[in-house]
Order: sequence, then structure tokens, then C-alpha cells
Amino acid sequence: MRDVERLLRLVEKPGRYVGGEYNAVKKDWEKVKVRVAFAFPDVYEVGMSHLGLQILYAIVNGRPDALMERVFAPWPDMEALLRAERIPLFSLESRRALSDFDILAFTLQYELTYTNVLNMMELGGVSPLAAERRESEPLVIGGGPCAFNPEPLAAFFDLFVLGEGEEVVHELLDAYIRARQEGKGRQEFLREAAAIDGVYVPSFYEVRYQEDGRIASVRPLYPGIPEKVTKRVVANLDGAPFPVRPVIPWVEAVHDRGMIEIFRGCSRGCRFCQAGIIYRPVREKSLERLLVQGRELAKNTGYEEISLTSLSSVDYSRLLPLVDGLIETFTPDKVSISLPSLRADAFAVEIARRLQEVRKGTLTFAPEAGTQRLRNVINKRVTREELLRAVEAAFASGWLRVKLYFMVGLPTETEEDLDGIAALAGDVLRVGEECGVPKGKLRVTVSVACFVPKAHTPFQWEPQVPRAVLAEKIRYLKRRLKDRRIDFDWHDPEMSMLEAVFARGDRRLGAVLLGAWRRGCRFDGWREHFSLARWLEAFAEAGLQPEDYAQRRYAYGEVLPWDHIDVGVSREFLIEEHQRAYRGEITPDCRWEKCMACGVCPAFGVAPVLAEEDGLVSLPDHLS
Amino acid sequence: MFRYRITFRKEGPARWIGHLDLVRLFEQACRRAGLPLAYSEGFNPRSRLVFAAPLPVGVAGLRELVDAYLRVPVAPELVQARLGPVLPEGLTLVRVKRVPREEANLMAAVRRAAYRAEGRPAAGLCEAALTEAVQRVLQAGEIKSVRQGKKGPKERDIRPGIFALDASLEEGKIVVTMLVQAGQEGNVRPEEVTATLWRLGLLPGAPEDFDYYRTGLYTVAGDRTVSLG
Repeated sequence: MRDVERLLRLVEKPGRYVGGEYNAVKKDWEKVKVRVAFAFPDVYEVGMSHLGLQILYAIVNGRPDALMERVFAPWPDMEALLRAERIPLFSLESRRALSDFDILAFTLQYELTYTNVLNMMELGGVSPLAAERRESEPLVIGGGPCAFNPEPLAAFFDLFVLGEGEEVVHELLDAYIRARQEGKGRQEFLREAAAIDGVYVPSFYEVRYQEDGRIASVRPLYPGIPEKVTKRVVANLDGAPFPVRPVIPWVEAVHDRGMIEIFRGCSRGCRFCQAGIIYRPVREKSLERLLVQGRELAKNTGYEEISLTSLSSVDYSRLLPLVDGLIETFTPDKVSISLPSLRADAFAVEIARRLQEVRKGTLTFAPEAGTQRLRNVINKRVTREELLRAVEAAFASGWLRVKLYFMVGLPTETEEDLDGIAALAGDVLRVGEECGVPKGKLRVTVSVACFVPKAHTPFQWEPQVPRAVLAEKIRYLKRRLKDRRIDFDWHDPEMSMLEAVFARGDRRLGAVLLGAWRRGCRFDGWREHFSLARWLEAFAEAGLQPEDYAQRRYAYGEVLPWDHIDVGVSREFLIEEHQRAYRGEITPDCRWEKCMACGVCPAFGVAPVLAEEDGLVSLPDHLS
Repeated sequence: MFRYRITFRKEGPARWIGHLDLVRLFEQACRRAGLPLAYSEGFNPRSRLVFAAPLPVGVAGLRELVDAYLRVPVAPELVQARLGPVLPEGLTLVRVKRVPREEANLMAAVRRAAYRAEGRPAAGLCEAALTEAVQRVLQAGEIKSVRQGKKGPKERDIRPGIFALDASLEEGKIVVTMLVQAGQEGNVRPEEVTATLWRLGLLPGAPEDFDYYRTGLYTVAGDRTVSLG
């Protein structure tokens, strides 16, 4: 495409659009039976940091009968040129329009990428509304964490895949190829696909509303369509394929490093956390496998940093031998190992010290709330003393900067909890002084997110605090954090409100999305592009109020928009957790203490898997 | 430490990569090749790769240069054999040779760069008009060029930085070749020269109608221009 080459001269970071990266796979279109475009609805540097993309890319391209190519949201400079020159949005590998593919697969990582999803479809020559899509257009599918409440996107997708993709992607592609060979159309294929575990076809369900706008019922329209769609879980994660030859981005990615996933799931049970519920149960990979994968990844990528990823990496049972084993091979090439997040305890600091993270300067902890009372409410099991001991160990080992993550607007929060955040930051500074951190070098960053209630969590019924109140809380904190050694940053309350709307919203929001996108909303997760005014116009046009979704307390008895999506964790468990939160009661971790019968293991016939000294073990029944 | 001069091409998709990304990608490739790169001492060790001169994004390089410093000696053929296959698309090795460690720093040595620009001619453009345009550029006492700097637009005279210029019609294409100032001072960009050629020659066209190639990097010894490759 000579035309594309011309555009490349005119855009910022043209490397975002050229493809041909090291380890990229370019297959012959004529030699495969199905062609999939993996679409990441954000800019290249964000999408190329995403492990899920690399996993699916390796799996699909590993099949002789299929190919997968990548496409990212074009930055507004490129979008303007594509529109002006009437060039359709194209894949990186073969520079073909999205409309040329059989399947267009979006990963849904974040609510504020939804307008980019619609925009990419239209730019790629694909009708955004599923009902208007012709037989010749691609099948549009979605997956990722936001697919666990897919309802706001129901009008735009042919189907959603719920949960882990390693196995279901094969079942789906096999079904697609078979249906094609038998000459079946889209509707017939969708009927067959709906029978695959984990596949949700939104057009096969009818949603009825009550007069007040709450949902009356969600029912399948046809016999044989399941009442509830269950998520997919890979029982044997250790044996699952893992990409040790990931595509290496041309343009430096947000997280520019190799990733080894050391386990999936987290049973710490923070009550606001959606990932902690939807990826249950915990499944650790074996030490031996991880050592091999880590070495291969380093060799095949040349990355300077290998990250041991998971939801809570310090919890991996055999972290010390893993770290030691990898360090041994990596040292001569100056390859370093990193952990994405740290637990607030001295063990975590010791591990970080071994990883020589000191040279990076900042150590991050997430106490999430400012007082013990509120930490108990959210089941974040870290005490002030533990945190300060960890911080002390960090300063003593040479760190100069500590970053603390908190949330504001959590259920039951009072002014005292906000004061607690300021007090904790002050305590950390004091420990730093006591440890002799040189004056002028000591820094504490306080980073604050606004609480967003998420589907499938114990806080799914909770209202979000009005955005004006969130803004006031942030201003209050800002006044309390005047010390010049403290950097304070926060997440935008207006954006957080929209996140809450789409995290807990229903199908009626499709009209809002369409309206917002038509008004020019793009890259809503980027502060420089976000415009609440346009969104509010779109809500008004659709006759809906964002507050009705974000700020309404949902009742235990009402039908939730995502009730027909089954993640295995029982509703009873979530209600009990919600009530324990209000009583300030801690829930034990099923890995080490006691099974609390969340329901996920019996629902999928799986069990938590831990990497013990003599190999992988499933947790014994007596915990149940 | 052992010093190697690597001559490589940067074209295809790789020509759209900025300099900092190129450095990072080269470093990764050296690690994949298992080359024993030397690292700087200190808090944040960096690999010892010294590039001759950043190539503007979009310009293809046919004889780009980087000096790699290794901890142990490796035969140049072996460096080439191991590094060649692990480079990303568009980066290819031309040659690898040993250079004495004490020779001048590569980046500091660069004084001149040769470029070629190729484009489609406007209808009716003849060789004579091109020659005339070249003469006007070479005879100009001063050529003002405006560049966007960090503190806003900045005007400077690029004429002293143009050492040779030629333009001709070859197989239906305009081919412009030039030798210009490069390195740490007085750097002249190829599109500044083509823009001037068009402006002074009163020819229709724009600098973005061209494909650009950097064809060589040189140092200056006395009054001689000497290739660094």
C-alpha cells in the first residue's frame, strides 16, 4: 500500500502502524481456512504490553489452518489521515482492511476503550451494529475482563467469550471452519457456537425492563440456548501453551519487558477486586516449567527485564528458588527480574532487594485504605505496622522513594479514613528520616483511585459516591498532603463515574455509546481526549442518566444485568462477603487457611493448585 | 574491551523507527545473538553501543554504522553470523570489522552524510531545468531554512553545510544526490535541501514526494572526506 507509506511520513510514531516486528508472524492468506484480526482498542504501546494478545497470537498462528494479525486503535492524527484519504483501518501484518477478515476479535480490558471499539469497526469497514452486519462482513467477537458484563456492548458483538481463552479459542475456530465448509450462514453458526461452554451470544437473549428501568428478566429466545453462560477455566495451567517468542514492539511499549505468568487467580479476596473473583481459583505453575520458560523468553527476546506476572506475584509458593534460578542465568547479560506489585511485608522487600530493584528507585505498595477499620471492610489484610516495617526495610536497603496506592469513595468511608491516608504517608516519611535517607532525596508518592463498583464482586451492589463528592475528597486529601516530599496524583472522578456506569450497566447503554462515539468520543481513558460534556449529551439523547447506573444501590433481590453470566462464585458467597464487609470481618485466604465455599471449585470441577517442593499439588479436600 | 564496527541497512518497516527505539532494538538483538556486550559501570549499566548519527524517521539507511564493544574477542565473521539472523525485518548487516579501541569515538567522528532522494517528476520536467535548479542552489550565497526547535521556529543558513549536489532524471525518476554537513554541529537534513531545490529552481513539487536514503557517513581528514564504514 503505497498510500499508507505516504501517511507514515505525516504521523507521530509511524512505527505503530508498520508491522514486521521481531517474532511477528506473517502467514499466507490462501493457505489457511480462517483469518482472525486481534483488535486492541487502545494505542500500540498499550496493546503491545498486553500478555493476552501474545498468548492468543501464538496459539492461533500455531494452527496450520488459521492466522491471526494485529490491529490497534489509530492515534487521532492517523485516524484523521485515514478518513481524509479514505483508507480503511488495516492490520499490521498484511495491511488488509479489517473487513477482509473472517473474524474480528476485540479484547475488552477497560470500559473507557468502548468508543474506540466502535471507531475501529467503522474505520475498518465493518458495520458497528451487529444487526446491520452483512453476511460478507466479519464475525465480531469480544473477550477479556469487561466481557464479564458485556451488556453495554451487546448490540455491537456477535458473541463474547467468557474467561480464559487458551482452550475455547480452538473450539470456536473449529466450529467456524466446520460451519463454513457446510455452507452455513452467520445465524446458523451462532446457534452452534452458543452450545460451546463460555460462548455468549447476546442476540439470543431477551431483556425485559420494569417501568422504573430495572431489569425484569433476561431469557434465552430459543430452546437449547443456556439460561446461564459459564466462564472458561484452564484446569491445567502448567500444561497450557505460553508464548516464549512474543512479538517485540518497534515502539517502546508501556511495559517494555518479557512476561512470565507464574500463576493465575488470586484468593486474597479484596472485596472491590473483580480480577480476584473472575480468575478463580489460584493455579500456580511448576517451578521447573517457569525456569524453562523464563530462560527461553530471555533468549528469544533479548529483553533487558523479565517480569514475573500474576495478580499478586509475591504469593507464589516457590518464589525464592524461582528468582534464584533465573538470576543465575540472567546476571552476565544484565537482564533483571521484576515483580509487578509487592505485598506490604518484609519478605516482599527482601525479594525486591534480591532482584536488585533498588536501582529503579521506587518501591510500590497498595494499602488501599487509610485506616485499619476500612482495610478490614475491603478485606485488605495489611496492618500499619506491617507496612511501616516493610517501608523501613526498603529504606534500609537503599530505596529512596516509596509509592502508595489508595482508593477513595470506598463503602463506609469517612473523613477519618482520608485523614488516615495522610497520616500513613506522614508515617512513611518519618520512617524514611529515621532510616537516614538523605534530605532532599526522600519521596513518597500517594496515588489515589476512585472506587468503582464492579460486576461479580462483593461490592457489585454498592453505589459509587457522586463525582462531585469524589472530587471534594481528592481536594481534601490534597490539602492534607502539603509536605513537599509528597507527590500526590489521582484518577479523574469524571472518568471513574463512566467506568462505573459501564461496569454495572445494561443494554440500554448501547445507544449512549453510539451517541458518544458519533459526537467524537475516542480514547476516553486518556485525559487529553476525555470530554464529559459530549458523554452527557449522549446520555440526554438516549434518555438515560449516568447517575442511575453509577450512584444507585442495586438491591440483592433485583436482576442484575450480568446475572446470566456465571463465574462460578455463588451469589450467596458474594452476599455473605458484602455483609462481612459491613461488619468489618476478615475473610481467610483459601490457599493457606480455610475454604470459604465461594463455589468456584465445585462449579468447574477444579481445585487450587500450588507449587510445592515435590511438584504441583491440588489443595486437599479437608480445606473445604 | 573489543571494538567492532557494524555496517547495516535500515529500510522497510525499520526505517519508520526512531533513534531511541533503534538503540533499544539493537541492544535486544545483541542479547539474542548471545554477544558478550560490554556495559557501562555504575547505578544503571548501559550497553556500549555507539551509533554514528541518528537517521531521520522515514529515511532509509544503506550504510549505517554502529560500534559495539564486547567483553571478550569474537571473530567478526561470527558476530555477523550470530547477529544477522536475529535482527528485525528491515535491519540487515552489511559488514562487521574490528577497529582499534583507541580510534576516535564514532559519533564524534561523523562530519558528512551522503543522501539520495528519489521521486516521480512532475509532467514536463526536463533535465535542463533540474541542472539549472542545482546551479541556483550551489550559487546561492545564503539559504535560509526554518526548523521547529524546542523554543519555537528557528531560522538558520544551511548553505555552508551543502558540499555537493546533483539532480538528474533516471528511468522516469528524479534522483537527487547530496553531500551535507552531519554530526554534532550544523547538521543539514535532506528534505531541507530538496525543498530548497524546488523553491530556487521554481519547480513544482514538495519534499514529501521523495523517498530518502542515506548512502554514506564520512569524517574529514585535512581536506579529504573519508568514509567511516
